[in-house]
Amino acid sequence: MLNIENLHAHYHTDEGTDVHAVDGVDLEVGSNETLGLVGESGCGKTTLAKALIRLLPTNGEIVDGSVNFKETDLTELSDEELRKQIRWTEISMIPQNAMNSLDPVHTVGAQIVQAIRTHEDCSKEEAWNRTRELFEELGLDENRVKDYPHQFSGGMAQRAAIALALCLEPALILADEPTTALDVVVQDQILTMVSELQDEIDSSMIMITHDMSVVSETCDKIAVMYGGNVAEYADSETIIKNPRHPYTLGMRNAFPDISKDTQELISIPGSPPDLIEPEEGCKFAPRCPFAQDECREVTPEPEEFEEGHVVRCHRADEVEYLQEEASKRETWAEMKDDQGDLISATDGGTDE
Amino acid sequence: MSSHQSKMRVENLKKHFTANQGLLDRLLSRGDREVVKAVDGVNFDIREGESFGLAGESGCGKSTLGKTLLNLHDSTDGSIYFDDADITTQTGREDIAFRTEAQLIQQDPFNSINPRYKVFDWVKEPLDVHSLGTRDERTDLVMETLNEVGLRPAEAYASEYPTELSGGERQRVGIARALVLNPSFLVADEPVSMLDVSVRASVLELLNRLKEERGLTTLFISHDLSLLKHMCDRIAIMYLGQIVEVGPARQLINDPQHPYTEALVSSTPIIDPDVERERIRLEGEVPDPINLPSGCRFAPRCPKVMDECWDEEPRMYDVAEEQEARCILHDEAHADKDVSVGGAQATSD
Repeated sequence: MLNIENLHAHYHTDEGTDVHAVDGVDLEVGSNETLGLVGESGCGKTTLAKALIRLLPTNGEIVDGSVNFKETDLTELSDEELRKQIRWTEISMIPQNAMNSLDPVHTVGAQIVQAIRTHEDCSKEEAWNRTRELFEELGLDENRVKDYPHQFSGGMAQRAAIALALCLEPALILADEPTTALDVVVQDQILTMVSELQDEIDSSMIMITHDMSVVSETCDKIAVMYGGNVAEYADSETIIKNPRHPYTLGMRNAFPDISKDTQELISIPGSPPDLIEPEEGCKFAPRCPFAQDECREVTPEPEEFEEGHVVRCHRADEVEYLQEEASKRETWAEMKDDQGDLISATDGGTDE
Repeated sequence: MSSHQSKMRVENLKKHFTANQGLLDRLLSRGDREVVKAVDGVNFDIREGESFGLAGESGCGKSTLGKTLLNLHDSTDGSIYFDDADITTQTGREDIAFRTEAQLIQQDPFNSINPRYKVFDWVKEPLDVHSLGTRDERTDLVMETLNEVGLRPAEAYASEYPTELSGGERQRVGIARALVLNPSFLVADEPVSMLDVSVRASVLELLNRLKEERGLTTLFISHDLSLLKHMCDRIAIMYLGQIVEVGPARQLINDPQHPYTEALVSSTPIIDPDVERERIRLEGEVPDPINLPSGCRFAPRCPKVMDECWDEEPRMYDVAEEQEARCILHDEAHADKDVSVGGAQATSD
């Protein structure tokens, strides 16, 4: 349904350089499928989502590639066409911070009614009725449709933002960290509800998050992003249990899992690249304990291993060796030494 | 419990805030001022050298409790014994001594550092405030501390402004500032929640290492149970200003005995696709702490609520070794009922 090919999105800086925030992304999202986009801040995941519906800030630009959505290349559409035909009706976005995305001077209900009536020919009364229904479905009290956003709690505001995103039953939902600001209990309620509604209106979703456990539970496929590229892409189970990219392996080590009794947390040394005019070579190489000369000199191309498992790493074929070594603390500790100025990421201290 | 040396003991601690009234109400002095009972009768004991976790949803009072423990809020009632001295009654010099002994690591590494200070000055400031050491001694101590928190080479970091540092580095600066006074007790309020996952682990490792090397006692405040299970010796769960369950970290997470803990654990997503969690859906959100329900505070949301729950506030019951829960399901009167609230979380390793 959605097919992203070789997408490049850059931010222009005042110095005249470009930040290559999205640097050659290929992805596919099928019907009624949920794709998880995971990565650290600055890896380009939000830029990718915004580029899809062309909501980049004024210094951002799609410089290459195509976004094929239901046989239309969205990059070819004019702003007017995109706004009228695609945004909200076909592709909508659930923002991270709902409280800031709702208009404080209009009631929550009025904002949803306005969205419905802008895009669809329907009476005021009908729109209000639909809004009330949506409130009900999202676990909000329908008597509160005429409340202002500030009268809502964080969880309620997030539900309202979801109502706003789903009111036109879009084919694709872009959820940008939809539950990061919420407590686990509310997060669980909302994630369950969103996936139920998603089934009901038969839409696909791209869920952007840094939380491995959330994507593992909610997504069918996962794309791990690093430095503007998709480092690894596969179905959720493969990414969690049988990853090939050293970055994915490192992320797994760094994430505490409540179901484990003993777990050694191992961090990835260094910090993400800044993406200003990146040089040739794998972007993860400076932090990768398995980097060789080839990695620093030649940018790896995406390569498919098992069906649907795409990895961008020169050494991904040595999967057993990588998995074995990446689970050891020494592997990540030793590499920091030849980097010199890095903060000591892995000295001392274990879980036990 | 008496076999352990206590570092901080809290007895019936309360911190109430009065809610703001409208101007008109105030002028006409009508209506009672509403009281927010953010911390409302908390008892616990943090042992020397342990990492004690405090968890709960936002609004449960955990951050207020952390600040009250550091005397940053004046308590409304109750006592806080730090090394057996009651800090709520301290004044002047004693209070200043306590302020070097107990330090806070803040949540937000971006806004908690004054951007006009260089790293060196920011870390040195507490020494200046407390007039500790000569000028040279202060400089040495700052450099040593920067090294200790992994900001190496310290000379290079010392002259940087915080805006030039990454989130992880800033958090290390915050930790260095807390450590420079050589405290024995740290309150870490969501110390890694604003950091990226790959960096998070390294800051946690640092805190673990400091605990070992300096014998620090730490109070970790977080809503993330996975993290607390990993970092802490014991965990206390807070709900609406009270502690509802306390126990050894693993035991409490693997076998929770209070319905609220059980719900929190069961709401935490699990990475491992092979582990299926038993889901307990809680309705609604933490209610406003102004109008507290009579009886058990969790009763309005509790999936196991009974008629008696509304009658009076439950006390803490011993439920397992070193584990206590504030729920009348553990009362002898209910011995015949199913109290095995635990086992919500399958464990795999």
